[in-house]
Amino acid sequence: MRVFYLELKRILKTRLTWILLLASLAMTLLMAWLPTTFVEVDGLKGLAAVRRLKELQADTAGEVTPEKLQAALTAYQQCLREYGAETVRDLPDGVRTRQILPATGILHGVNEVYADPDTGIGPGLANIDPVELGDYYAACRARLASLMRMEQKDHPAAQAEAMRLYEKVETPYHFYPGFSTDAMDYQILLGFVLTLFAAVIAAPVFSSDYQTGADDIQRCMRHGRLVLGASKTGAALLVCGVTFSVCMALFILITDSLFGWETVGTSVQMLYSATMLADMTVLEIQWFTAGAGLLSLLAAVGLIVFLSSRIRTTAAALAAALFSCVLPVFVYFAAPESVGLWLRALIPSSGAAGVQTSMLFTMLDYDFLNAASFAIWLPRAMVTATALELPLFAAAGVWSYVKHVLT
Amino acid sequence: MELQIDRITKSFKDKRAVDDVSMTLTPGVWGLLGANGAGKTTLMRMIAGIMKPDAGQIRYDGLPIGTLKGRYREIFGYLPQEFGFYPEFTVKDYLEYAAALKGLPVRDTKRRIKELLEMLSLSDVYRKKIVKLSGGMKRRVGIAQALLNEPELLILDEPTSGLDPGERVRFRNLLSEFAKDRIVLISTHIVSDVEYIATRNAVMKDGGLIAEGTTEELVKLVDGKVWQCVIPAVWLPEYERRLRVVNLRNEADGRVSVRYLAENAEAAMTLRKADAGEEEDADAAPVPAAPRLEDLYLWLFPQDTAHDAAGESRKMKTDRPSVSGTGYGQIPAAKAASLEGSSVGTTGATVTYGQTVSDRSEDSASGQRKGGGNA
Repeated sequence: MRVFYLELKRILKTRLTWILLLASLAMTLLMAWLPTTFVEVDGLKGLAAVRRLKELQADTAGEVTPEKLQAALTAYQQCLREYGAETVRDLPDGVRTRQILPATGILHGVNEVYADPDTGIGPGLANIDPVELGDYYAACRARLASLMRMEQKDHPAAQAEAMRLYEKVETPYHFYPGFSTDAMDYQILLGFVLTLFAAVIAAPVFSSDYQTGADDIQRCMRHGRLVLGASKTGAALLVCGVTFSVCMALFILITDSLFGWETVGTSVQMLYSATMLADMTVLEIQWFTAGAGLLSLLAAVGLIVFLSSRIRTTAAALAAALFSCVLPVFVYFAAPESVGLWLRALIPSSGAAGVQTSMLFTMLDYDFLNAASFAIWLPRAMVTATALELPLFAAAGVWSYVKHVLT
Repeated sequence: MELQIDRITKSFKDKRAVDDVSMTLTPGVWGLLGANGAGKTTLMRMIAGIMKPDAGQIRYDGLPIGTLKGRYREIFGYLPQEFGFYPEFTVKDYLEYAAALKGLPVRDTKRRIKELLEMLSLSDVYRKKIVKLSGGMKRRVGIAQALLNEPELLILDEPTSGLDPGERVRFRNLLSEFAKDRIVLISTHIVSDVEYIATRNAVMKDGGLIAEGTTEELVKLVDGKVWQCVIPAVWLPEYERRLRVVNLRNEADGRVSVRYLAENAEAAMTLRKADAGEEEDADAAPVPAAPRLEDLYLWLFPQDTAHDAAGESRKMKTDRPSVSGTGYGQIPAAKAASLEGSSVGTTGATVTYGQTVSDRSEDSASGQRKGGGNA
């Protein structure tokens, strides 16, 4: 423990670490505040707009019952009829704000649920009969079934697994107006930035010692191999993990305080797809994304430490580390879909640094890893893989350092 | 207590860095001599266990060091040629870190660090960042870490590079004292560092061990091969061209005292006659000089004369004021000009290797053995 403590102290004494820690804190504060600036309602901006939106949609807050949905849709359609408008864009600004905006929050996802089962194209809200909303949650299940038939055409196991997952989703959904999905996007972006910072901290762990020759001395000391290797790895994981956790926690606390703590009780299906497979509220998905991101970040740091133990120069180790962080993005765009999905599950940084491949965006999707009659939802595969990779890469890094010899 | 090096071989690509070296190190200071590229550092790295030999085995008290693992490292101290450290560390941070890695109990750490700081005159820079210290001080910090655990086996690769003469003398005395009941192996090409304190020396050349013995035993190898004479300065270029001059010094009346290596006196005698013609010059007659370890080194590594002079940019220094204004005492201006820069190598001549004039003076002052004919 003494070596671990001294190694931790050493990392925390380096100027670069402090610069990165302070930058992490600054980025957290900035990214938590920025999403509030994007909200615009009734000529208002920022937090004032959030407050105005809450006032306008206050009547729809709470459980999303079929009755509430029917009432909201009826009001919506009546307004259009009253002003002879085909779409809301044809309405005067004031009318849109006073009569349409109160209904749109709760009606999120309705046109998606009633999409054509063959084409997937959703009707306009003006074309849906409010009576149909009486069986809204059955329509959600039907919509998911048709969606999965399109998305996982050749994989009945995946279709069945999706339905099983959705059965666990609590209904009726809950809706508390005011929260913006921009805040979730910024949480993903923050995860990406923090992972890059972690890569910069972790990349030189071993390679810097090889480069300076400090390693030659240290590995001749009694605790200079296994104990030092484990301490260095542990200290890098701890510094990066604590930084990520603190920043994410701070981000969530600030974001939720700004938007209002009542808003985060909203079901994720009321912000994203109405048939999303995760049984979570906004608050739960925020923490889940943070937790899965932390696991992904730690596994990525484990991989970077392993790379560092194999690379003799700091610059090369840093390049390899940064590449490992942006690799999921390349895979997302470049790899063929089935191969890409497996790679996304296996690359440890996917969940934290991938942005497009992040845990949140993966949960919004309906991707499954299919093997014969087996199917696993990609977010689950990613969490499982990173949980296994973290100890694996960390141990491989220590082992590689212990076995390192000059050539 | 003994370290057995048994038929160790190590190759890098097409170069055999260490070639079938065997020796047994017993308590005392061991000097490992050899030119650059002789294989000293590679051998030391293998002894330190940070490089694996291609063949052969290193045993400590009969057990292979690979199987001793932590127990071997516990009694081991090592200072490599390049002293690597963390730039953010102060001397205090570094020594505490090293003490923890060496497994020193917390209660002993402070005491031992204090002792070493005083011993190595580092107390004043205890809280300074290592990166801001002078080269000599950094080296002393490196020595301090190697000594922290009072190792039974201490390996020092070029420990005195960067140390000033006073520091080198203190370091040598420190090591002499430390080496009682311990094995200390020092690699250097500064021969004087080990000449006076080494119990035994080993000489490496082209990866092989070519000689081993006490300083007295080794210098016998060049007995009768070291000569000195005092010649007119104008003869010097010819002497340097034809003989392996290891040292020269200005004397009064435009003469130069020359120390050189030769298989026998005949070459110099011939030269004297050629230069002097019919004129008799009794001082110019070569007389045998008492050999030193440095003479042996230069005898074994003749190419080092040119290499060392050019590579390390050492210039001849004299303890006499310059007459010609060239800084080279009474050596003729033409010769002085040729000595500027690296032309020493081109003439094949050299000045005192590994020692500056101040070293010599310091050796005299400390009352240590001094080679005959040098001063």
